Amino acid sequence: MKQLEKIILGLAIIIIIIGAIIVKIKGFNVDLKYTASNRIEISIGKEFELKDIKQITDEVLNEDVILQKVEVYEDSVSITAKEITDEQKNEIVNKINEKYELEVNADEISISNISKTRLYDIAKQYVLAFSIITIIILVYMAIKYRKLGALAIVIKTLLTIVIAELTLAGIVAIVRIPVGVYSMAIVLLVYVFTIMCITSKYEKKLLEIKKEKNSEMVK
Amino acid sequence: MKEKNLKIAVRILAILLICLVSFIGVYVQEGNQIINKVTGYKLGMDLQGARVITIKVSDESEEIIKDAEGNVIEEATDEEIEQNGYTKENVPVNKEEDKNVENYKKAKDIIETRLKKLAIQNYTIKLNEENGTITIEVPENENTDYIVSNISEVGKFQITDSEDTENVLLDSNAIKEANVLYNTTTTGTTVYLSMEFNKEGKTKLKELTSGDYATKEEEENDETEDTSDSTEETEEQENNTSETNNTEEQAENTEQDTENQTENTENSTEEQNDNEETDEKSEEDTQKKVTLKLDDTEMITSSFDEPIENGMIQLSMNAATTSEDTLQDTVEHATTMAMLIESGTMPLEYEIDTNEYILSEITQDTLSKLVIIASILVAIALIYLIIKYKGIGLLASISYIGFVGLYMLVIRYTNVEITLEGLSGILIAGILNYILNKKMLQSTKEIQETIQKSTMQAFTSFFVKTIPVWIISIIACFITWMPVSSFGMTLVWGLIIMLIYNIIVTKKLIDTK
Repeated sequence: MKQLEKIILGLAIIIIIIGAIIVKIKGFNVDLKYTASNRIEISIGKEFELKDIKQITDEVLNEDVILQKVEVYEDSVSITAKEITDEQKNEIVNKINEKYELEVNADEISISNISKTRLYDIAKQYVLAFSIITIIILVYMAIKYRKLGALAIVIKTLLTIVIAELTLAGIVAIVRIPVGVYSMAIVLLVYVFTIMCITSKYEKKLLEIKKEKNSEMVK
Repeated sequence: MKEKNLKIAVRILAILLICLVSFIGVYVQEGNQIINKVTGYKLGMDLQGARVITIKVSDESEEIIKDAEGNVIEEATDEEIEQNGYTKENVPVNKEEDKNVENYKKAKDIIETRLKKLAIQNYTIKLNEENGTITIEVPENENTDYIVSNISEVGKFQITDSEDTENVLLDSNAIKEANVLYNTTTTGTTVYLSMEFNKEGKTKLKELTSGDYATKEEEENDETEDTSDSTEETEEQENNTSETNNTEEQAENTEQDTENQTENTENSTEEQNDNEETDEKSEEDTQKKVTLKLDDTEMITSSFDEPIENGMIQLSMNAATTSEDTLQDTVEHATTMAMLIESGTMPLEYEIDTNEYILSEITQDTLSKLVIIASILVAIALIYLIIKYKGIGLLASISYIGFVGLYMLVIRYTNVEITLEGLSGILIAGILNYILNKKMLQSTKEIQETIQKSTMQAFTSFFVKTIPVWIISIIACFITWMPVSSFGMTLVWGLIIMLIYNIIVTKKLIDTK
């Protein structure tokens, strides 16, 4: 193993270990969409801009919120935050009333409790799909690069994929990147490029073997 | 030289045209409106929005009638209640002791099974373990209302004795699978609800159909079955045919059924004629029958002509029809029944609390910002190519923009649903195309310097390296989970266009130069 590869592997292992410790202690920083939260829905009855509502929620809640337009006419807004108290709800409604000249009664708006989504529930569909894909990729690799040792190739490829994904998870845990809707897209990017990199490496090795053989034949 | 320049100019014009159509559109005046004729993108649930359905454990009560001994009476008029000394009681539909985490989780699992059975390719499901409230997010389309109206049904499937309904002979725990089958003959299409029982259910069914509930020989010979039952049988005929392993075989069997059904119809006509004569006999008849019920609604009451040994029951849901509307309704009805029967009985009764369409939190603004960031990154990468490879770098850059334009057009016209994972597929295809273009430019430079490689060689060696990506994208296309299939579809189209476009356009442009 080259010196650079050793350093990268060492770094990856350190990241994985630190990440695992952080996950054990604090868990992942799960995006608001997947955590237990409170939600209110206010009917504005006319066109509105989410950025105006964001201004209001920033003033009142001062925390991360999810703002969504509701129904086909997009004339209602859904506000989701980790916690919305009755006072905060009243304040938001008052400010919206003021902004859009409405007379919405805050008492008629209820605060709903949104339960958390288990990360396992999100991941399970992908795990099954990508397990199948990985098995097929491993079979392909074992056949295509059998000259490099089928079993060694399978183990190496599998380890590389696992280490790459675990490193990504470690970085996500250490840097506290929210685990949310974008996460799986990033995981897929890493997955594909890891396989691309490892294939390039095997191709290079095959080429070297070919060259060696050719030079031996010339000798 | 002039000819070369002309070729380059024509190719650049073609690229420009593709880009104009893809990035700006084709606008046509229709009435007072100017409409873009280029199809729009089909966005997935995470980018478009979803129907959010919240179902909660029902707090409702139902009125039940009890006799003096406390037995539940199914139906009684006010007069009967008064006469017999029955009492009315309000009982909650869900017992307090049943409202526990275990049952909440079971309900969530059943709903998930139902969503899968309905082939919903993308959904999220959340459970509030404190009160059992379940929040489901499903894509908004023509099937959404149908899902909403059926997803929280109890789905209590029972096979009981027709006389003693408390005697449950088999229930949904004995069901292995329930499916909808079709059989088309010259008279039209018949829809069948097929139920396959598990090992225990199969044994029990065999016992029932060969024992007490087998049609008595005497009855068969004398044709003394009452008219109402015969008519019912012509509508919902049971299938007692041999074990079948695939739909095709099942369809053949159902064809046999249809023939049997016709015979039975004839028999029932004869029976009608003989009815008066046999009235007295019918009254004495002690033939035991089973009733198949779903959520206390009777599906069929019948006895069995032959023992069912293969553990399968097929019920015809309609008389053969050619009407598309009727067929569609029947299929929908049968699918719902299959879904409810297979998924099992909900441990609690649920009711819909909220049902609304909520747009994605990823707004058009956010997407526009992402597009701008991606465009800036692409611009930087292309400027690098131009600086490094000068003239051919510029041509490759123009070609790259053409690739993106064509790719986006293909994505729209192939109706690929774009999810966030799909966007990552597009990103991968874009990066791979850039790497390929760079390799082609590199090899062109090497030709000029050492005459060792050709652009085609670079092309081939690159595609060998991307074979695993092809494998990933092709398999992902066949995964029924929408985010994964969107990823596969966008990537596979990207790879196909990359292959064709770079041979036809990029290579020719670079070689001409």
